[in-house]
Amino acid sequence: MRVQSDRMNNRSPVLDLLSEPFITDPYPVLAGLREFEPVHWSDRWNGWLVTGYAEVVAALRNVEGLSSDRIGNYVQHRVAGAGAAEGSVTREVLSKWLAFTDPPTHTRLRMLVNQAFSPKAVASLEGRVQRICDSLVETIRKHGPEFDVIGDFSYPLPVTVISEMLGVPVEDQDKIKGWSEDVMLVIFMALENKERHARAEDGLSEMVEYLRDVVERRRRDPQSDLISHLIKVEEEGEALSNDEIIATCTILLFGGHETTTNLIANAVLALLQHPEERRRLDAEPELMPSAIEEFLRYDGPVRGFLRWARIRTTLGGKEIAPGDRVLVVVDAANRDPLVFEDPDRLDIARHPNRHVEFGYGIHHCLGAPLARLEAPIALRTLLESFPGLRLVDDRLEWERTLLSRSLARLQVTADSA
Amino acid sequence: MEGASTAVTLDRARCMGSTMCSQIAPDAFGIDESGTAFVRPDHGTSVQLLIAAEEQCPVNAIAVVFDN
Repeated sequence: MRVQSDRMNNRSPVLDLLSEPFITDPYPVLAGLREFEPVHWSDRWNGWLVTGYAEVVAALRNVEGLSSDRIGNYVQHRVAGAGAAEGSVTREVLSKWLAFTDPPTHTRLRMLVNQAFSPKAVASLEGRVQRICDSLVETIRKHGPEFDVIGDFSYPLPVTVISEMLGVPVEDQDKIKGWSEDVMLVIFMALENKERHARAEDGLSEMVEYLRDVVERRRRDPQSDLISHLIKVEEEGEALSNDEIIATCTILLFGGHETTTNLIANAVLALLQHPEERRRLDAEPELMPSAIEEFLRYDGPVRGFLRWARIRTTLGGKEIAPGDRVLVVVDAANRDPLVFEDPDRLDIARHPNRHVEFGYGIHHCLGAPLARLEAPIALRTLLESFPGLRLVDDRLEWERTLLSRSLARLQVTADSA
Repeated sequence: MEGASTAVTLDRARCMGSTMCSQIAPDAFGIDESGTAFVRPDHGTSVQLLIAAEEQCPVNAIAVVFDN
């Protein structure tokens, strides 16, 4: 039985989080919601929507009250009915994902991989990132002038980088891409149905089998890659299991597939839609780091994070009951006028800019330093290579997912005509 | 003063509360009520640990400064 929680039965906005208008432009609706009630119970979504900046930070910091163990809860509440068996691969693997664990498991896993993604460690990849960007641009030039920013550029870049970091053969990228897309549908909560869960389950099973094989090969023949490093840690007895190695590889591959891709694509879109800011960036290239932070804030790749109330807890004056699910809408927090002046304006020189696009607290994005390395190089290379870059079609197709802000494609032409 | 040749600074405006520093060097770093890290006075923490905290900070908020 559910403990009664502080849900207001009021004239709350009826909000369909997967409706087309909301997927296309969520910001006006989120602004209205934040103003109405920054912590709001939605009957329609059957959970809490947190849209105020202070409340979002409080929610992300409340590790004791609001669990990230989405999978335990998720499988229990939703997938079980769709026939996902106890001990399914999805459950086993995802329950060990860094993003979906609480302390102390999270602390242990995070410490093991954090160093590899520190700003200092990723800085050594700069030259390699530039070479990958250059070679992608070269391929685009051969086929141009029209191309898809995502398929031809912002997708292959982070995939190549993370595959190389981990030590996964680059020629297997297409396989990984397919599996990753299957899993993504569940992680980012696209419309739910049995078929998709079955596909996610199949995709993840295949990915796990594949990675088991890679791990075994590295065990016999260690290289200087991250998989070999994790194996070494395991063999030194630092309490990392083989399953945790595999799970960590899947989240790193997955993380390297989706978010950086969308950061770069959404940044390109924002610049193409704001020609004055593009001219400003052309004239003042030193603004690139703050521009990247602004793209993260303005229309970043992540809409929100999911939490489950573990215990009775208070947020923004509301009582949240154990078992309630909570959507922490960073998209909304990043446009909170209490924190950001003129929040709906794209200002590539914005300062200060304490956006929460990478989250806040112990789950602050592990890959943030890598994204902050890749995105500026990618954007600068693209803009310098194609100064006439413009949109081919103003109609944009956004993916219908709850947690990610991702375009299906971003068709552009290098021909300024 | 012990360890006077090494100072550690923390840019609180950059801190996003990952708590990496306080986990690596709890004697040197604490987390305040707002979730932001701070440097404890007179911590006497080894330079190696301070550098580890500096290197592992995901937002580059920590700097170990050598006087000589």
